[in-house]
Amino acid sequence: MDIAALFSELFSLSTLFFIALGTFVGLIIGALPGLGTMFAIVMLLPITYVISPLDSVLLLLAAYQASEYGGSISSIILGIPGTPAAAATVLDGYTLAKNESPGKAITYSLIASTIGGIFGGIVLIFLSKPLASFGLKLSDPEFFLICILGVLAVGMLSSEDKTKSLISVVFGLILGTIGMDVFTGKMRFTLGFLELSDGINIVALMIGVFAFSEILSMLEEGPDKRHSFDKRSLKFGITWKEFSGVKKPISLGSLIGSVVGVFPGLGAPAASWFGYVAAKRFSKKKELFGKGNPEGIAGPESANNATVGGSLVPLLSLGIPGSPAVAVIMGAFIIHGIQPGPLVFSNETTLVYSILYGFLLTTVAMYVLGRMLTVFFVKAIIVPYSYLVPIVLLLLIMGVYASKQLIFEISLAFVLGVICYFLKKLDFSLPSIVMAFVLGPIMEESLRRSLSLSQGSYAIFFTRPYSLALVIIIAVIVLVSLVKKLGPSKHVSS
Amino acid sequence: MSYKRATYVALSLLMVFGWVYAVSIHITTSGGARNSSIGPTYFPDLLAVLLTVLCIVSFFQTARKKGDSIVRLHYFKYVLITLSLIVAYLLAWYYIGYFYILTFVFLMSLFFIYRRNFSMKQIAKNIAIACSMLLVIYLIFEVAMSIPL
Repeated sequence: MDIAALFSELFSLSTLFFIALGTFVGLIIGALPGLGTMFAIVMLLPITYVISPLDSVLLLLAAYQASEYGGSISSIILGIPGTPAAAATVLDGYTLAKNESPGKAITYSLIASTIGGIFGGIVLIFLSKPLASFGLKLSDPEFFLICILGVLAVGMLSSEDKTKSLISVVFGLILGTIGMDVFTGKMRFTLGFLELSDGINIVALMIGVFAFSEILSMLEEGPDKRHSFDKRSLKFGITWKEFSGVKKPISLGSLIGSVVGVFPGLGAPAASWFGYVAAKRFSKKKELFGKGNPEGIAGPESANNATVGGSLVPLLSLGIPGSPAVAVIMGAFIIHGIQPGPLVFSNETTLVYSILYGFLLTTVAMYVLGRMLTVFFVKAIIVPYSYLVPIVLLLLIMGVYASKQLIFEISLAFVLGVICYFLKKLDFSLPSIVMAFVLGPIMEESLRRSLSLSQGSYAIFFTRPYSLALVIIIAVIVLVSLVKKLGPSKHVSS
Repeated sequence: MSYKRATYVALSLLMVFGWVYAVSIHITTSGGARNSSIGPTYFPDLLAVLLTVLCIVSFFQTARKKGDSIVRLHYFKYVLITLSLIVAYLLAWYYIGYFYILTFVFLMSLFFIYRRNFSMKQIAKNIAIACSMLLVIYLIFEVAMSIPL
């Protein structure tokens, strides 16, 4: 690997610019309640068509990182989480902001997020290559089962109504089969549309499923909706002693977040709650939690940013996204014709290592821009929906159009957005749809190749040791979910 | 509409979608030499069956749930108006063109509908914001990304 080439590419003007852009967009979108991390990444996805693969991935990673911190701005200032992963931060962040100063609370959040992000990056650097080497030992049966694990984990671990989540998974898999079959060249469910011969455009799907549906949900709060906040000091700063007081929850949160991120399905929201619970469990001031304890900010914030690095590990080493957000980032790889997985370390060495080290740069950018611009982002929160909705809607329409310059794509995103708006109301899982859509083609290819090898026998999934281990893990996940479902009803009846 | 009823409708539509999907694929991929039983319909058939089974399970789970709630569609008229405007905008863009003029009209329509204020000051503000957005789009998409509009 040429270190000089790696660093010259990483520190080029264009790469630094796109990292800054991603950070800026991530901060602003993350800070706006209701939009969320997925929205930030999906909005930037169309830009990746016209920039290099490295710039694409770092742009989206910067947005991902920054939005996880950005979500805490709204949690602290308004008491409304800007992203699901910032929900735990409301408990102490909002109270600290009201009792003392919002600036102090935001400082705790920014520092914890930065340290968590760096820790996640270090885990990513040291874990992905060994896991990729292990991945080379796997074959089609194992990849099929890993895909099942990925979609099941998202479906069963991250949603209340498991059956509807599984239906969402199957719906996403169906959407992934639309287009030309790679084995036979036959068209599947294209309904006569030539534009669908290549499958559903990933940008149209992502924007439709997450962004359009979210905009329609925002409209339900009324066009006059506007957030307001008590304009106290937003000045940044904590003392060294105050920082020392949160070292433990930051360490715990970072470790928890990195581990949670590696396992597909859980993601930043779960990690932030685990981080909060761990911070409280090991705190000497448990009674102060929920009353503005800085540890209650540091724990969840370091955890949710640490998941970003952790969730990239399975993507780069096995080709399986560790979260729905990373599934969107996987879209950037696909757009550039790069298949993440064990072989990417040998086929695209400079790119992969640039991403690994570039990830640390995105964390630094989040801290620098966060410090400089948080005060301005706070003002963005109070833009009324009557302006925000049309502006964002237009940007989304343009984003979809930018991918293939076809109005058909915008129509497709719009139709998917309307369908998913209603599905969301009935507790179907939108992240499951996206995850399944991304994994579906890999799953089908692996399945068909495996069955071709075994002449149609499913025994191939039970006779290989790694496959058998994966089958057992999948069975455990299903059993745990079923037991959890039956558990509370037993308590009620007794 | 009640949550349960809405769920039944959604599940029914999803099941029908699954069947139409599977049958359509069988029709479009029929013909030609069949050299494998693991053909282009194998995975879609699995998915269609799985979808049907899951929808039936969900149907019974929903029926067994005690109590019901209402699926509320707050400010639904704004949702409908916005959807209608988007459809009109896309059709006009497709058949007429003149992207910047159409987009200006689209934005101004939404601003007026949402803000419901027709004072001169408000109109001037709306025009300023709409023009700024068009400038941003021009700079990002036409200049930076070289995408003709």
